[in-house]
Amino acid sequence: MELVDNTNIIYQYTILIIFGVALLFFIFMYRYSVALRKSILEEEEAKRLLTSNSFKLEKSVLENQKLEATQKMQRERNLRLEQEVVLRNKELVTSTLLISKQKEILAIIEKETSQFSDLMQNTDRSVLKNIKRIIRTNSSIANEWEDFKLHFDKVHPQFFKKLSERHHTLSQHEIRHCAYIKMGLATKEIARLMNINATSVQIARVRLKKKLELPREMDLIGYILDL
Amino acid sequence: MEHSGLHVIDLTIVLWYVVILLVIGLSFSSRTKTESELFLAGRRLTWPAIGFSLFASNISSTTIIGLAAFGYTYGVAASNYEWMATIILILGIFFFFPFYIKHRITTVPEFLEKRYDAKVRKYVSVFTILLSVVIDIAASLYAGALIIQVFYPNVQIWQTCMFLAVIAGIYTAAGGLAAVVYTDILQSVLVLIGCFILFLAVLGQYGFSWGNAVAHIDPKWMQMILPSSDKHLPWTGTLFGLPILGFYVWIINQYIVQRILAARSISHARWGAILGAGLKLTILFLMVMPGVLAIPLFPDLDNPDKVFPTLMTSLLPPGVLGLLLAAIIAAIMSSLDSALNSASTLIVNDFLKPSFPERSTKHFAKLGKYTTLILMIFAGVWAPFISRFEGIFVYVQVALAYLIPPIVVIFLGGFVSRRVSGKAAFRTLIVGHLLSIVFILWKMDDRMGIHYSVLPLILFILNAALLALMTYLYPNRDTKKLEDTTFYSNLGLQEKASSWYLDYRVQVGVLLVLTIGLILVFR
Repeated sequence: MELVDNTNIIYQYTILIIFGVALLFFIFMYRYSVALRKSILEEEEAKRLLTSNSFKLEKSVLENQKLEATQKMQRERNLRLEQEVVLRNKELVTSTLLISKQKEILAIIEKETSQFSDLMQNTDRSVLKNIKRIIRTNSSIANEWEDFKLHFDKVHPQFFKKLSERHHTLSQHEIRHCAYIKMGLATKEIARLMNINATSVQIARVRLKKKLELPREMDLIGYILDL
Repeated sequence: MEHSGLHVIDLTIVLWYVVILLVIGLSFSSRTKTESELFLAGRRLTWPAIGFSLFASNISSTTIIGLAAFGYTYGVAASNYEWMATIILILGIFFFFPFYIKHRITTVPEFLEKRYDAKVRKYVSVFTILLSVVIDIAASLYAGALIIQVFYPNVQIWQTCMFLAVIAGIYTAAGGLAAVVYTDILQSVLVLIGCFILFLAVLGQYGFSWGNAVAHIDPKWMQMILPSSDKHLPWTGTLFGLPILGFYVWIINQYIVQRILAARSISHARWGAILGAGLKLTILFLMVMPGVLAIPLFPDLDNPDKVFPTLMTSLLPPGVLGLLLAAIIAAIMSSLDSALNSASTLIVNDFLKPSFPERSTKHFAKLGKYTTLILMIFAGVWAPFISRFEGIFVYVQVALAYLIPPIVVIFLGGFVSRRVSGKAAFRTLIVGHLLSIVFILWKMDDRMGIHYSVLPLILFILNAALLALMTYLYPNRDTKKLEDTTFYSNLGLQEKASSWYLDYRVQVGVLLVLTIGLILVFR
């Protein structure tokens, strides 16, 4: 068979095919890239939502933990403070009782010394006078009250202020009684501190309750402790 | 129409092709930091990439030249192997690829470890590596160099081999599977365009009339199914021998399957395989037909392998010839890069990784790149040596086909039955391969008086019997473990198609109709 020369037709076909394929390729790539971009965007959106949700969750968990931690800290601090108050109160009680004991002893010593002051010579008497003066300065009630008030304010701040704000007719004696109750002292101890007997303490309390204008069903001790 | 060799424009086109190829290939080099990115392109491949890559990797220079020669000598029956691939791919789409995607494997032997044990995996892996490095890569390079020598007689075979190997090796090492697959789109489009133009040019000799062309051809060359007495491709071989070899190539061989493992999802794997299978159907017209139609034009060529180059030089004008030459180089490149990449994947994943499990994925990516480069040098150096013992090499190539049936048997056996144990499979592989070697050395096909293409079937049956015996001796006791690796598993991979034409079952139906139509037309 003789070969035919189709050169021109083959060139035409070749160019046509290449352009056709290129066109198809670009159309396909365009549509495909649009679809792909869409699906990628959707995927990313879903991922973003997921991560943001999990982030939020994590954040809230963290916040909870933080809150719990602070609460715990607060509780511990409160506990520590309470313990401190109790300790301080105990110190106050001890020191108060100690001071009152000292006072009693001083009073006894003074009484004893005055018994034999007449028997003494002049020079000795001046010594005795000195002793008496020391005793008197140390057992001065006003002084002692001021000291007590200072210490008491440290342990139970605002107590005196509140008490005097609500009930301004209270006498110094009654205020002292209230303070002793606040310190949690027993009736017997209060009696000794105030130099009266226990029954008198009870009577004083009834009077105090009346003066504080508390209703009948309310407990005086409870009221003062809560103040 | 007289051309004395190549025009300068042809060379320019080829050089432009090489430049574009390198640009595309190297543009993926920044995305290969981890091993999964290097070997599986980050498992993000979509169906067009998978489909074109399946086609391009499968078509090598030997295919183009060989099919034309085959068509020239035996007629359209030469395309039997091609449409058989379509059928095998359909099997894969329905039964096997879903398992690969489900298990997120990197190599096919990895699936065998899940089904059997590490021993079977390593055995099959070694087999695949040897086959691709010693035979596939080298044969593709050597055949490509031979064709280029037709056009550039002054260039030595070893120079061409080294040149092709270095170019393919560089972009494969740099860009991994992504580079392989995306350059494959260019390569397969080039091959399709080139072969289509050649087909048109040949048809042009008959006045661009199909009817006129067919009238010039003896009807016996237009027969797809040849009688069982036929010397070259009897229907018995077509029906029984080819599917077994095809099963290995399209379902088990890492070289082809790797792009399916890298699919974005099972749907993309299926669509890609369908595209690839569809492209395989065009081979009859694009590659075999030019050979058949050349019979009246060049009735007395001394060597059928010269059909394709003769058609090219005598029918194509300058420029178009360069396009065809680029298409042939594209065919070489696309199979070379796939083979390099798959061999490197197998070596790193099946051998290096289990030995050093504590290394990072970045480290394995680096190892994979070096492995690719080493394989490239090996292939470039080894391929030219084929010329020293060409006869033996062709023989070995054919004989290796006999080693495939045992692998197909244990793969299918393990898939169909849960009773087959790793021990049974491993023993079947060893005994089966010994049997194959005996068959090869004794030239069993001559002794038994059967066609060599039927022999794989006989080996398949023998190996199946062997596997049954081994399973009886070493049955699998713990079948619960295998729930995800056998035919009976429910993978839960049903992806609902949004419209009927996206449903892979509809697409497979269309493919089947086309295939059967083709066979019926060329009865």
